Amino acid sequence: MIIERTENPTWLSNAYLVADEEAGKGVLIDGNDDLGPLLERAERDGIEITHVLVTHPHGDHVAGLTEARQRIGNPPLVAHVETAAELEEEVGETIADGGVLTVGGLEIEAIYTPGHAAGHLAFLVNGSDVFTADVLFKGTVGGTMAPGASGFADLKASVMRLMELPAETRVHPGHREPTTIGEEREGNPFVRIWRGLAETGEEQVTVWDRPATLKLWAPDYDGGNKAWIVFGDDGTEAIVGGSQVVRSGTG
Amino acid sequence: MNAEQPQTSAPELKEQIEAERRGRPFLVFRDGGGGQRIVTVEAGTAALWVGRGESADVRLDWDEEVSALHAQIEVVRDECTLLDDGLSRNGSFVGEQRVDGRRRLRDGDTLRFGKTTVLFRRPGEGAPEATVTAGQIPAGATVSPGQRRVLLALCRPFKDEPAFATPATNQAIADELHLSVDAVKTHMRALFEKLEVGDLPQNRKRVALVERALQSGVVARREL
Repeated sequence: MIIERTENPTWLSNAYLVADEEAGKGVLIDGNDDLGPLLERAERDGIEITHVLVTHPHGDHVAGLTEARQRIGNPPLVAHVETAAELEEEVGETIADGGVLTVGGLEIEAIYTPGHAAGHLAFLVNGSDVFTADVLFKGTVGGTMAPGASGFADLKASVMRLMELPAETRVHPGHREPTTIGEEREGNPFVRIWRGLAETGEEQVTVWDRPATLKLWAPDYDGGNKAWIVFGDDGTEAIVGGSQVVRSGTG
Repeated sequence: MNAEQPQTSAPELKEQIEAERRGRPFLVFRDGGGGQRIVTVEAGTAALWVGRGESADVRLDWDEEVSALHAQIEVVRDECTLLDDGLSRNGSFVGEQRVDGRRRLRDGDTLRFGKTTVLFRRPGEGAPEATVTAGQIPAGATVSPGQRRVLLALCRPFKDEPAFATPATNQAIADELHLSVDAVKTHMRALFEKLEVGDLPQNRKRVALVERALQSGVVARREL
């Protein structure tokens, strides 16, 4: 199996070519405005891209898909129905939790992973490689205040569902470098708390002028920080970028 | 740009659009209190100092990881170059790359000094955004009653000028108006054209539409 990745230098978002080289067929997963090298690789290896899978409809994961699809004969977009609702382009095939797409020797299973976006899907390919987009990254997890996000409880449930995959499953996230389920189970600070291996914090902070408790302050994939907070006024929990958090110690 | 990056409120976006319209390069960042700051590179500026000290032009005095005089932005005919000659303790970054010496800045570059992230904008560069934002809201742009209802629903989360909001999703608009998602998409496409945000990158269109709707008075905040 071929797995090739490009990373957009500004957004740090990934797009992937996943292909069965023997059958000469493959798919693209997401658009990051940097799809040229993936299309060139497919062309060089004689791979027909039969479908373009979209994990969720945020701009940094769909950019450049129109142009890329035009170059390769407009293969259909495949996405969850809630993602289809937010995309400007028509989705040829909607796919739900447990749905399987067969492309050459690739068996691609959709895993419904809402939280960061309502219709978010992860894709498990041949049981060995999972494309987790903005739910799970190396060492961190997705935010829950992005446009169309379905919230903290969903995000946590989605991450913990992915943790049930075999430890050796390779994880290809929507931003930055790959990891494995086993590595995240043991090392991801969010997962460690949710597994009961670590304690939450109690620091009082301010987020968007609202008082909040900082349950976890962790490194994010972009060199910044990711915070798990609970708002003091209504008890809502959220995962937000560290730059949104005003800590009295540093502010 | 990145959906994972800090969200921008409507008044902040307005400030950014105004800065874009002036056509000068500018820097956008958040201060220690989370408020947006914009520093415009005025015509005739030869260099800007970034640092924690009092003499810095871009003063990041809340960030302990920033050195007193941390780095310099050199300006030659609006071409901006970041210089870090090792003055800073913790380095300067463009994207993920540490700048060792000089680095030419491009529109949309994310700079980082200490813990502070600074977005570099150069409105003249990278045409599509510039051509769009240079234009005012089209005079007499009229929207149909149906389009206006969609626009109201899109802007709904910005009622009361919250510190944080994102535009309503197509699904939320469809639910509110008892319309099909396809009907909402058709209205949205027409609105993108009418309020001239159609050429913006997909991730900026919806929030730009909200801003233009509120700014132009097509939607009044009290209606939300």
